[in-house]
Amino acid sequence: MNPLPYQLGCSTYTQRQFAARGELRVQVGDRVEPDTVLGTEPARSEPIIVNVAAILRRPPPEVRELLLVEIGEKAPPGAVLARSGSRECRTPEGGMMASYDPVSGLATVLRSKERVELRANVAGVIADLVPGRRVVIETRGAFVEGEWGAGGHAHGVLRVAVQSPLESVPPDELDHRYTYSILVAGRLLTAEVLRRCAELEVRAVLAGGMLPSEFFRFAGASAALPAALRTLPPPERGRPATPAIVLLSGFGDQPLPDGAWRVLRACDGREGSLLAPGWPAKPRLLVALPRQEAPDPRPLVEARLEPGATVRITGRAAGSAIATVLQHPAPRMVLASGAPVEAVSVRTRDGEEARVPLYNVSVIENV
Amino acid sequence: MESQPLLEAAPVASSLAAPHVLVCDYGSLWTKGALLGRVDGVMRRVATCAVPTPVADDGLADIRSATDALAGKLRSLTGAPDFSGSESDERSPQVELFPAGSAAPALNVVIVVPTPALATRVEGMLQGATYTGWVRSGTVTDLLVGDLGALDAHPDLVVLVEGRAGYIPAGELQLLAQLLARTGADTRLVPVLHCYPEDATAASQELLERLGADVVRADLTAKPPRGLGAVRRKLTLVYSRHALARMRGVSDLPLTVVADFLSPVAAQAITAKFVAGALSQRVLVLDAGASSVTGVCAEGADARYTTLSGTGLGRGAPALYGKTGEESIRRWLPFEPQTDEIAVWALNRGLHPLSVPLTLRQALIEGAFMREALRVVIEALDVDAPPDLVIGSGALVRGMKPQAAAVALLDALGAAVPSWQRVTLALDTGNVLLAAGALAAEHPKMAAEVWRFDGPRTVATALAVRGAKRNSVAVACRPGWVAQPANLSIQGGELRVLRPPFGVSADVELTPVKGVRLPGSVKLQPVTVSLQPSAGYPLPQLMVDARPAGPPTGSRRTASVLKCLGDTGVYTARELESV
Repeated sequence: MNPLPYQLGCSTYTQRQFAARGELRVQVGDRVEPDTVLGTEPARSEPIIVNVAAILRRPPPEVRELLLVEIGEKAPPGAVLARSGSRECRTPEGGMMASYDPVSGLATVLRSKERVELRANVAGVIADLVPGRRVVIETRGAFVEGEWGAGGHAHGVLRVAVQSPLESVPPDELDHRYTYSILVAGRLLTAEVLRRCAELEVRAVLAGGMLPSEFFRFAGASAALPAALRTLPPPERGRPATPAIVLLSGFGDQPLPDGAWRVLRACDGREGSLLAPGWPAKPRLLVALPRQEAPDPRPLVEARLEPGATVRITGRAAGSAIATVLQHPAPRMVLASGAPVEAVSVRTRDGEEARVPLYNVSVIENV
Repeated sequence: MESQPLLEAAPVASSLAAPHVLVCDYGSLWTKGALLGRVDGVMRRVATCAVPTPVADDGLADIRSATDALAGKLRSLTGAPDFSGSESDERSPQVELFPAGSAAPALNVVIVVPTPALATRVEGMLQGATYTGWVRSGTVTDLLVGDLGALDAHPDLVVLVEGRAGYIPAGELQLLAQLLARTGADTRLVPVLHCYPEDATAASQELLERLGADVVRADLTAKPPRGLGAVRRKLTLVYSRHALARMRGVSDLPLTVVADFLSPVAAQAITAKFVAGALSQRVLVLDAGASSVTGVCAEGADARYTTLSGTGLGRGAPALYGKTGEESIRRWLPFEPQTDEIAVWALNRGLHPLSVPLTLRQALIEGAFMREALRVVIEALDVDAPPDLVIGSGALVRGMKPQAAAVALLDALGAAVPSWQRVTLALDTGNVLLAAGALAAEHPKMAAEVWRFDGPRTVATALAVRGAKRNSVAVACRPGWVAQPANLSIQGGELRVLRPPFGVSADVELTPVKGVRLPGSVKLQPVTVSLQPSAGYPLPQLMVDARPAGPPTGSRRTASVLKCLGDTGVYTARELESV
């Protein structure tokens, strides 16, 4: 389904599921918050293999005498398994020492029987569930879809830090009012704003666009592509965690889309949940609104490309990127590259009528 | 292609049950279809088209929807009735479907080697063999102790490499079993490929036989490696089988599927080998796609191929930018880009892979990316000698005009193989390169028919001029179609096009000046090139390339790129003024 990217007064459904099988603690109809534990499942049970001989730089048969944890004994996380002079071999996780192989020098540690929690990540009501496997959470309120985002999930109070979609918040105007929030930073995101947000422990940052040079300053060199588009780099040792990032228009100097601006302003001060699994998946912001503000929410509306719809045209400058569809389909057009393509006739906001390639058009408002 | 009969017209095989054949290439972004059918008793391409590949909610390609959309579009193009071929209606024509594609997620591979020194070497040998995602290589011990996250995600294939340089010792078999259990290979959910030499036995044999491992007799540890081609082909086959399980709607296809799922590069390699053998030429096939770039080099009965998975002109644009760098893209532009202009193009193309360039400036940036993509894949192929024939496919055909594609091919070839001398440039405008290869496994003669009548169109013959001084006369030309004998000259640093009037056969006589080397010319004697229009070469033209070998460099780079685009007629002067 291809929903309209900015919707108010809608119901969205988010599925949360165990990696394998688990025990759910919720039922249909329960209200949940992002931190609510929906259930637990056993932690992965594969053993930890530690190359003790290599770490101690001793021949494997000699290491047997140097073990400080006996076979069958439990060891807490970080416990020293063996020592040789100044060299120590520690177990990365807690567990039971299961065996030591004097031929290979490998020790096997069986992990403690922990359980992993499945959290809701969004606020809403349990709408459906499959026992032991998954739940579906309905969130009534607002929905905003971005063009790119990364950083996993985040939740907090939505705070709009600018007065118009064309403004960009300067880093020195950010203070502790924005701590733990989902910050709407305006038009253009910079590396300085991101660093300031990290210092303030802002949970997530939304903006219209970001220059690649700023992105590379923050994420590492361009050689970090494409991994940097999927997963934000971890913070340097001792530095605060990186907030999740969402660009609503894409890369480059692009304003906040008008439709997104209207929804975000309406939700200023409300609790929101951001789901940004990383490119190529699109990020989504869900804001739960009280019943009196969303009395009769409708399911997410699907985008329909038809005469009268409002569209955004990819590849055009910001000023002429929003248009109204006049005719679809329109006669084919030939691009500057010489390739013929299917087309749509549009009229831009400044009155220009043109044919644009069909696949450069995305609907932001239906008729 | 020049009109040489690749195969004598053969009677139509009676084994084809349906009147139509549809070869579907399910790409990560586009699903391309070539509809073949009998025309006057001969197998011909009837129509081709492309639709965006739908993606199911779980992120996997939905090839049932793709096939429906493609069939609908072909129906509207050809007027062909019911594609679905209801069994209850004997009059409904049915279609045999030959599926191919790279829409499935890439293969994640674990390579187990006997010694640490072999890990990087073997990984390098197998990279590019098929559409690979992550690859982890190392000894049994290294892999067990290493990144647990990767192994816990389960690879799609485990390759165990043994040979003269080392075997897994009997004492490590227990650990090997543990590793195979960690990867899921112990339950046969993850296939295992066991590579070891013909005349050897391995201690791990029994364990791997019990797991149903596929055996390839090869010694990748030797220098040079033996049996590498067989191992690479196996990887392609695994991808094809894996692809079936990793796409939605495979079991629900509306048409009669008559062949195994083929990876596109394998189908192209089949066709390339056929063409190389038939024409006795070195053939280079280049396909620039949205999420991968492939190259096949064929000579005689041999074909080598490589796939740069994740790198392309659509979703793969960010990876291509990260791999080659800003400067490598910039050098192909006839203008100085603004700060971040190239990076914005690459990143936003990754976000909107279906979008196309709206302005000439954007098209020129795309052309620069195209040249780099082709250069990188040609270099990865590591060809022994320059090709005689280069065939372009993919975005070279769909995304640019033929003249632009010809210049892009020449630019990329010149950057990657500066020693080229004479080459024929062709474009797979009929989209039969993959179709013929896919059809060949079941109906080789039909495939040859399709290739003969609807194969690629030659767009240019190119000659390299070496040793020319910039702005000095390098070659004197006498085109035979000019009524009065006229002498034109080509200067060093130029790429000039000589083209007879439409429908006219004529020769061009080229004479190099002293110090300049022209292929075929001995002791400054003239070389004659014949330009004859034919069905496979309707608009013959000669491109004389007197530019310095290699990619454009220096302070006059943008001016020379601009001049080249104008001189070759890719864009008019007025169009280029606007850039």
